[in-house]
Amino acid sequence: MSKARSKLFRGLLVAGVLFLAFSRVGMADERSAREFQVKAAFLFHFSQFVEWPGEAFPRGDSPLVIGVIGRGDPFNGALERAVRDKRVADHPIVIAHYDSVAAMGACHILFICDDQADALDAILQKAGSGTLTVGDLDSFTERGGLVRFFPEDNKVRFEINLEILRRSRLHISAKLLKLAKIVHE
Amino acid sequence: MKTGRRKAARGMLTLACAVAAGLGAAHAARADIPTTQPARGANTQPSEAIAPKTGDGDLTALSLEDLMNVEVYSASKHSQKASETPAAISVITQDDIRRSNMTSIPELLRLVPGLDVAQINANQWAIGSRGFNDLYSNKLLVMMDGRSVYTPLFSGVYWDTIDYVLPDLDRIEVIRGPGATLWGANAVDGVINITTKSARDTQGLLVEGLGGNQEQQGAVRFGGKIDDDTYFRVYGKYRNYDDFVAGNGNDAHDGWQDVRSGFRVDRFVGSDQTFTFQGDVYNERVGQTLSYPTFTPPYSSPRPVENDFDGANFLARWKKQLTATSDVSVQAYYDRIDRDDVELGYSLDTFDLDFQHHFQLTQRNDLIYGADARFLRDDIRNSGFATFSPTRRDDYLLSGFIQDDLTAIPDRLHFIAGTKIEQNSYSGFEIEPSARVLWTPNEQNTIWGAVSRAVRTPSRWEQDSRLVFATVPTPQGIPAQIDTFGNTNFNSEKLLALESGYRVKPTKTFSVDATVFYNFYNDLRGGTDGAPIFMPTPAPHVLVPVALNNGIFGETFGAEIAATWKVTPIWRLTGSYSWLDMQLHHLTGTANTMETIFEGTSPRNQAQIHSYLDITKTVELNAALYYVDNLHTGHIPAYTRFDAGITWRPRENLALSIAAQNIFSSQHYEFNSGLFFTAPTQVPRTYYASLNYQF
Repeated sequence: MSKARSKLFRGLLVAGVLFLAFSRVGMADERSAREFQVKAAFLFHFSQFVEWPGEAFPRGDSPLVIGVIGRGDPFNGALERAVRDKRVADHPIVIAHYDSVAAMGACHILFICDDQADALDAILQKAGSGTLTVGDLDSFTERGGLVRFFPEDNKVRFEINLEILRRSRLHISAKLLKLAKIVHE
Repeated sequence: MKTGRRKAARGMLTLACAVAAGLGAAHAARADIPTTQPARGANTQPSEAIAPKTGDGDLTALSLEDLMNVEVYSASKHSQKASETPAAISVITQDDIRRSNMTSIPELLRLVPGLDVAQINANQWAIGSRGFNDLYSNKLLVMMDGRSVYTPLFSGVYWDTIDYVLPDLDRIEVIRGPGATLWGANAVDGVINITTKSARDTQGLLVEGLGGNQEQQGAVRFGGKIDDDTYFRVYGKYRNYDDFVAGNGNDAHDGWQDVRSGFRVDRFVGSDQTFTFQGDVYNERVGQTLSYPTFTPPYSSPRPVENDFDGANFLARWKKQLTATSDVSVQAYYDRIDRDDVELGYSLDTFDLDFQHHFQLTQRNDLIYGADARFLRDDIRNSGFATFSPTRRDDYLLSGFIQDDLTAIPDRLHFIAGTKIEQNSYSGFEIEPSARVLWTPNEQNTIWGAVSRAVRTPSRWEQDSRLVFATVPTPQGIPAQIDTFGNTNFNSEKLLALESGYRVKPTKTFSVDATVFYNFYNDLRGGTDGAPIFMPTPAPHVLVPVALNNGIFGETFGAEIAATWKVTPIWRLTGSYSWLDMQLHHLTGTANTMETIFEGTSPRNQAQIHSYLDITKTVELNAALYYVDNLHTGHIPAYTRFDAGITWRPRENLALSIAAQNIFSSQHYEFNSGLFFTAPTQVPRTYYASLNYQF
């Protein structure tokens, strides 16, 4: 009401606007924690039911890499917990986090966070036909992704793009295909 | 009078400041950005040493089939998909926000089918749902992140104060129709829920600048981490709006500036708890032209004024997943607004505490219940034209609600029933029950129906005030001054609503959502003309007292239909049409003035169509066409509005846009109810260029 209070508000605002803390940069997707626990378990199961070409594992005990690309960790550690002390046919499983296409390394499974929507084409191109690409975006499978998680009846379901699968160097077990929704895009 | 060059210069300056601030911050922040993180799994200990309390333990132990049956609840009242909600719900997503070319939250609401959005002047909007639109449209509840922004002075929303860094909005959910059972009183004809993104989703630096012939904006937001589980963001935003066009073609005196800043912190504890803290503060300088009643022809004198409006809020929220099927949340907030109008000073402090628990009572009963306690304290400075008594008032609101979702046939038929009960210091005890049915015969079709009761609690104006409303000439030669008098017996307005809707998704690329409603209103605000009293001072005139009462009642009915069509993978069309009919009546003794005004402030027909086209991978073309029917009150002619914009993304984190709004018309009026002091002005054609850069 008074001019003095008005000045106080303005002061607070200037302070607020000028206040820029410097900190590490991280970014992730906001969904319920439970949803991502379930997705982490799914990614672990995918590692059991997908066959990669021989050259994906140079040695018998080369690690199977599950990558997550996004600015932060939507799984909040659930993925690390899901694969701890587990193996896929003698291959230990490791999790790698990338915050941009430039930082991306070679993975067997790559989970692409929603905040990477604009970079999706570049990511899919770099991932190549030997990576199981997984994501949440509505248009993920239309744009060339292999597996898309989607909600149905309050549960997590997934769909597989059969066209992309055929063109890839991966083989997905019939057991997994049976449970998936198939899209032919 | 502002020259084009000054406007352009101001726009450039705003953009330059924003970019400079951003670059400065980025330079300092860059030192801390890590390079590729090595596989974190090896050396990161899980943040919780104990297994999650869900009881399901390690989900990887489940078979694939079992995993597909795990239910994933969210802790909000809306744990269902919009398409499974038995109500007329529309969601404006961040993608819709981005592609709409709209630059403010009130303008974004035009996208909602059936919502009535009219811009009165550069700083005021009349936004309503299913009728009764006005500057202080009182039958619409509006909330921002769970905080009510509805003001009890005139029972309305100050839309100039509702703003945010638009890319940081998560969504705007609009339910047309009564939402009183879950959201409480005043959610009579609609509920608008604006939610901002979690701090986890807004990391990094964002700089946005916009400059055009009518408005200039600059915003900076920085998001970072305090530790591995705690995310924060801070933002600052400045807006400048130029004058609209007055009736005589000159610049109206209604331009305004707004500065605001705020923060949000989200902390994730384990996999089942979150703490959120957020707050904002703003200051506005608003130009207005008030029409002062006078005793000589033309009986109103326009007076340009500059008003200062401030506000601040702080909110804390805790949510916890208790078991796989239950969650609880507790929220507290403080809100302050300070409106130093020249002819009325008003400040309001609000304290609110809210609790909510959601759980499965039995396998077929999904129960949600909660309680809310709110305390409000206001402070009014009277003037010659507006007198409130008492000038300070402490009010409280206590409410509880419960709602059960009964699964009659799994995945096919649900019955939902519930009620809210309230005790408030304006109208005492209120009860707002509702019953709904949701039938999904198959995946493509959903049918729902609802019966609900809602109330609109009285405002300070209706109970405690005397306002000089207008002066008019009389055949006798001396003028008459019409004053409205509130009375403490003014009761709440009541609604009984019958609604039904049908949603169909015949193909993957086409869907339709239709709603019909029939509303019965009682105890609507009206007025009784009292006997005129001769007053010799300050100039001889006759005083006509109008006592506000609840003497109007009636019905409204209408329909809304919206469709989405994905024509090709790169081209999407959405459209909607809505129709409204109002039949109001008055009790004997009540004048029909308000009745006629109400029936004429909402358009009978409205339609819109949007086209979203991805011309190339980096260029978007977004266009929208709106039609709004004429308004009898104020003799506002129908208008058609065409907006279009092009957005170019040369890099993944940079977006450049140019857009124009109201391309067809150079200026037009949208609203004039005559019920409030401020003068309506004409909405002009606007165009702007904007830049959005994220580090």
